[in-house]
Amino acid sequence: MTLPDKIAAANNEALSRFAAARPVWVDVRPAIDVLPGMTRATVLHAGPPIAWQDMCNPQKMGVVQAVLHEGLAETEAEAEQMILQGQIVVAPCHEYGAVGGMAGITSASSPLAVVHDPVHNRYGYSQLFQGPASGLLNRDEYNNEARKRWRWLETVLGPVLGAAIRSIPPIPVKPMIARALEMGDECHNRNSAGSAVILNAIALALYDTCTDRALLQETLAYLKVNEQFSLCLSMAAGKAMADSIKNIPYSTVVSAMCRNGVEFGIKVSGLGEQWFTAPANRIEGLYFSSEWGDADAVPDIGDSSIMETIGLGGHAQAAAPALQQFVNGSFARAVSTVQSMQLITVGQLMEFKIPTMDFIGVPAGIDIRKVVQQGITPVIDTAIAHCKGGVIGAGQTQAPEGCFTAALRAFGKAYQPS
Amino acid sequence: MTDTGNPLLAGQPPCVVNVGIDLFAETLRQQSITVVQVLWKPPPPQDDDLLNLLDSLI
Amino acid sequence: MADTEALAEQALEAATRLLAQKPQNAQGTLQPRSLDAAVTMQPQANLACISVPGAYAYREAKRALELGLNVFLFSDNVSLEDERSLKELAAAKNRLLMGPDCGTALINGAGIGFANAVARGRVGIVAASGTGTQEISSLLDWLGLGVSQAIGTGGRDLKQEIGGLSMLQGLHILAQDSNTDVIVVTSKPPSPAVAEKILATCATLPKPVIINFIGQGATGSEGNLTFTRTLAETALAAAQAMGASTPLPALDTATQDSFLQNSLQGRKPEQRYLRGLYAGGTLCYEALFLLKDVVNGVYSNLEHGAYALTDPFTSKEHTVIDLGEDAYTEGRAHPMIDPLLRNQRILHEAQDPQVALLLIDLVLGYGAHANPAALLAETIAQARALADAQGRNLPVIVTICGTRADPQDYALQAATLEKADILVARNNAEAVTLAGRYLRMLHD
Repeated sequence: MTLPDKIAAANNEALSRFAAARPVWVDVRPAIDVLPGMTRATVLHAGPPIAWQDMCNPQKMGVVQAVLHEGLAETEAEAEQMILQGQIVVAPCHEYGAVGGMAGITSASSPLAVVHDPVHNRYGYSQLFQGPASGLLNRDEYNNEARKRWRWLETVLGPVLGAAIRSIPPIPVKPMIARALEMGDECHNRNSAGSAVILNAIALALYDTCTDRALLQETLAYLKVNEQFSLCLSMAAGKAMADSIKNIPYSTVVSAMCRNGVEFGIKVSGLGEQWFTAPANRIEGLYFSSEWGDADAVPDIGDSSIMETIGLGGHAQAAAPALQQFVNGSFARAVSTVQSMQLITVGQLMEFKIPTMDFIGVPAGIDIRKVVQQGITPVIDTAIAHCKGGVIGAGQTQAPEGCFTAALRAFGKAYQPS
Repeated sequence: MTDTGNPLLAGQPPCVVNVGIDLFAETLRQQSITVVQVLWKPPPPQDDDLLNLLDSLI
Repeated sequence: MADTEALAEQALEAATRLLAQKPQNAQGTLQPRSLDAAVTMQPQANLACISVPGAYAYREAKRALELGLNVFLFSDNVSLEDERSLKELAAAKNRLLMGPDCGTALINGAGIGFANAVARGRVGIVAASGTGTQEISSLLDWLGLGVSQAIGTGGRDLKQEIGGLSMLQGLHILAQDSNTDVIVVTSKPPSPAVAEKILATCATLPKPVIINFIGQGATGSEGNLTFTRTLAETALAAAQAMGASTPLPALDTATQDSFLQNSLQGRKPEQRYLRGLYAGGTLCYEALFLLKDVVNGVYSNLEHGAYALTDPFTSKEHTVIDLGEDAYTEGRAHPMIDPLLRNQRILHEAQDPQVALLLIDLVLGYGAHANPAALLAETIAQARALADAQGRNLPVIVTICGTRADPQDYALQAATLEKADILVARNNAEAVTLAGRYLRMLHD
């Protein structure tokens, strides 16, 4: 077999693993209970590895708040000291089998959605979203609000959801995604349909397992307003699927894409655990309020681009015409975006159909060779983070070309006969 | 018009391909002129090493 | 019974046929990523409108010509060498290469780039200037005539290095065109050798040719050639050559006189200077040239030498600027599209105690701002409040370039300005002449 033949076979294997995966939502548990290697003194973050002092403001602040929240330090100064002295392990979610939206701050007591794919015996974990931002104008107020929110997620939402999920057969995530695509989600920036599908699927179990009416009320109220909730499950499933294609020799398919607000990082199946990074791009989009502008926004941030890694979000943009309002776009533009993603991927995932494009399957399996050849990088649908924390808008951006060319050069070194 | 051999000047409204600023396509559509807008982006810089590598991998 | 069965079968067949047809699917709305793909999708295409950054313009224009398209090349920053090679390729392919830096064309009644809604008619234009074409074609429309074709050449076509390749090609096309009776040529003054070649070619054409080399000042007739000094005179001469006797639309004398009187009355002695703030490059150039006959020395960003404006953002004595130049438009839209920059400049000028008069153009048409008069009137009101607070008046003359069919509604634009106590001139030459009269009153 020639080298291109070996690559083609490996890439087809990667795509067929995406197709064969059967991720199911099995539980909600604190990180310390489920993440392999997690310790009380570990704080995880979104994106590729980055030193604490180099992080963008919301992520940097988030790590400090997490140290305080876990009771490891009394004051911010003390927390910063511990981080700088290496007493706190600061690492990417991705390296612990997890993914985190936006800053992605995950500490020992953070409740995580647990998704399991029995076909490849892979687990994927995702943090639960805080919910809409408040207190954005004042840093201390925001931090107080955020930590109150974390406490509630740990003491109420996590246990209540966990009990309900454990009481019923695991919930298959892929059919939920397929359904949501039919209902106008692209499953990254728009999750209104998926969240409604999930609420339907668990409402009765919540009723049966949560006997405290006040807690049940709070949980339902959270699910009612959080139209992005299903993204936690999609991301955890995405992580399990993406990890299932790791380390396929000769494969040029991207197995992880994530951002930390400073850099965009990718991993490639055939190149194992090596990160390839380039500066993160800014996001083109709309702010939720006129008080915010480009100066308030952090560049591309979060692990949610795991959705594009498995062919959703920007790759399935035409499934969610409503989102075009955020990018001053049009349906035609969304269709063109999907078509250009077809040019850089291995093939279609037929389980995830785009109804508005005659039910083609989403373009999945990003091939770094095609990205470099076409000069087209993956389109990422994403939220916009405020530099002081919180979500303030939504839009789209593109992965920077630099990480793909760097990966291709490394692939050449690893696999080209010299 | 006398036949100049140039199909543009045959008397019919032009049929336009717009490469660049969207505004020019909009002004033509305002006049009911057929326009195809090209989704143009700058070509990637040429890098011979990378192109040779690509050739060996595709 | 048989009838019903046959009908049912027919209905079924029709339904099956409908189902077999692809629904209105995504293919129909595909946006191509290259010129080649666009032409495959739309084989009827015959014109490429190219406005990519200069560094990529040559490549796209060349490909368009190779694909058999004519080219309207709005991009600037193309080297003279590349311009020449594109024009040679165009000539070999018998296609037009309008540009680079071409702002306006009218092809078979369609306005390309920044153009006005001009009636179709029998005057053909070959022009090295965009707003020059807009002014002449709009005035022809006001004169009850129209345009057969207005072919742009790009601003540098009559330079020695290019040798007027596009203009010569355009002249031959219009000479052969059975829908063109009169030909208009307009450009900034060409290099002498190229001028000679153009004039020699024009003299051989079997049609009247009106020649307007803005800033050269030649007048009179010679065989089939008529020379004009201003854009307005050019339109008028073309109309006369067509046998029309309508006069140019103009302000009446009483309105002009009362404007001058009122302006003089409210003036402080130190208010001595004109500030011309133009969005249209050729209109600005014409103003500069016409004012030279009236006052000594007008500073401008279009001037080289002693009267070149050292700081484009600071006026000096009499100043007339083209706000469409690179110094002002870097990183923002042209003032014809977004008047913000000019409006800021107006407020700036209003605070200069030496300013006696503002002269401004308002270009309408496709591509221009949807309601420029409203923003301008608002800004002038603010500017006058600033001047008034320091005890000064601020007379303003605005020339509108446009037709009654333009999307902005000419009558509404003019009325908006007049209501704001702004004098609205009917063409640029009229506006500049009136401004000149006022300056003469101040300086005599």
